[in-house]
Amino acid sequence: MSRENIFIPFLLISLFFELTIIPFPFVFLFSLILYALYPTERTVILTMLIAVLADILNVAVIGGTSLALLIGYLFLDYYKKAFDTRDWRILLLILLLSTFIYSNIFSYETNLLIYLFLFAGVWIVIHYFVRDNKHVWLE
Amino acid sequence: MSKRSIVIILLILLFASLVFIFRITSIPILSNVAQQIAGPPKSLLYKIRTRELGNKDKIERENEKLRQKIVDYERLKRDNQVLRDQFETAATHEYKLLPARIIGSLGSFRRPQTLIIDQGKKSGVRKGAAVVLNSNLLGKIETVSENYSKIDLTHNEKFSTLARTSETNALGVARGAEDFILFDQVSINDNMKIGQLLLTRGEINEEGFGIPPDFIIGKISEVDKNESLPNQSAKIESMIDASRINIVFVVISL
Repeated sequence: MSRENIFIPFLLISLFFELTIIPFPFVFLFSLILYALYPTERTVILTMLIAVLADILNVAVIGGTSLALLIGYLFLDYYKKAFDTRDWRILLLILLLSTFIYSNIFSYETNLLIYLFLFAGVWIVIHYFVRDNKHVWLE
Repeated sequence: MSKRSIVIILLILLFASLVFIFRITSIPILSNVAQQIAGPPKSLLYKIRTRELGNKDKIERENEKLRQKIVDYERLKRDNQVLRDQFETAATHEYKLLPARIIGSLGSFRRPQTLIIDQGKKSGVRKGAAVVLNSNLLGKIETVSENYSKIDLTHNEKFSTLARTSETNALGVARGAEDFILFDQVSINDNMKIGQLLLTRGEINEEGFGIPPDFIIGKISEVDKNESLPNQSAKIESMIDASRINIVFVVISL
């Protein structure tokens, strides 16, 4: 399985974990990480499908999560072009901020301590993916 | 502009119009299939979470029984008064309740603001219906989809209902204030004491459902009274820890 495809089961599991175990926007976060590392049309379509499913399972307005994600993708693209940055620690900071804003808008958990704890895990995941520079974020 | 950026902008326009068109969650066939498949595992996962948080201890259960007795006593006293005064009995309602499993929550981990249950339109759940547990009002239905529904809990800022105090019958409006429930618009001449129970007054809409009377909303923990103002208010603490329960009941007919 390619490294890109590892995210698919993660995204599917997130659909079940979100709001049940902890009210944290896992689908939004994993989709943003996937797009940041592999920004392809395939990623966009796949994450849109998962986002629509997430809205259905969370009894939310259909299209809300997809819209937030697409705005996030545009922002990531613009940021990379404008500042020509390839530092993945900046990516982590962008992810933390955008997930926190999303959580506030869509009434998810907003406890900063939980965020810091979870983003320590995200740090490890991103570090694993960027360790040999074989992803688009660094190219 | 790259091909990918054009795809993203087109999708933004598509989803923006979807949000505008739907406003509520309803793609019947897709919602039905997805929610039916996801229901059991979500329910199981939520159970694991509530088990983690621990069960109610014995004292809490006894408190619950005592509170129920107080409400029953108050109801009997009032019924008796009406009987004596007007020679008629206040109707004892029997509500049709629909049990529902909680499969998710929104808001803080320890203090959820919204619950998601595994019953929806198909089971007769409607927007505005009350959700109860024992003699306590938990909240009301905010959104209904094919198989799932969303409940706004009593301390959610979107929640409000007519209420009265248990002993003094002070009338007012109970509304969510995120961390507690605010009981306001109470006449300054009415008496409110710390420890009194706040009960629903009953709020039935034109379609014949809503919030039935005499369910416990919470207990008064603080009274804010200023003689120079026409109204007083009180801070209400909910009796139920919504993060620890698995099953609730939707009042689907009054």
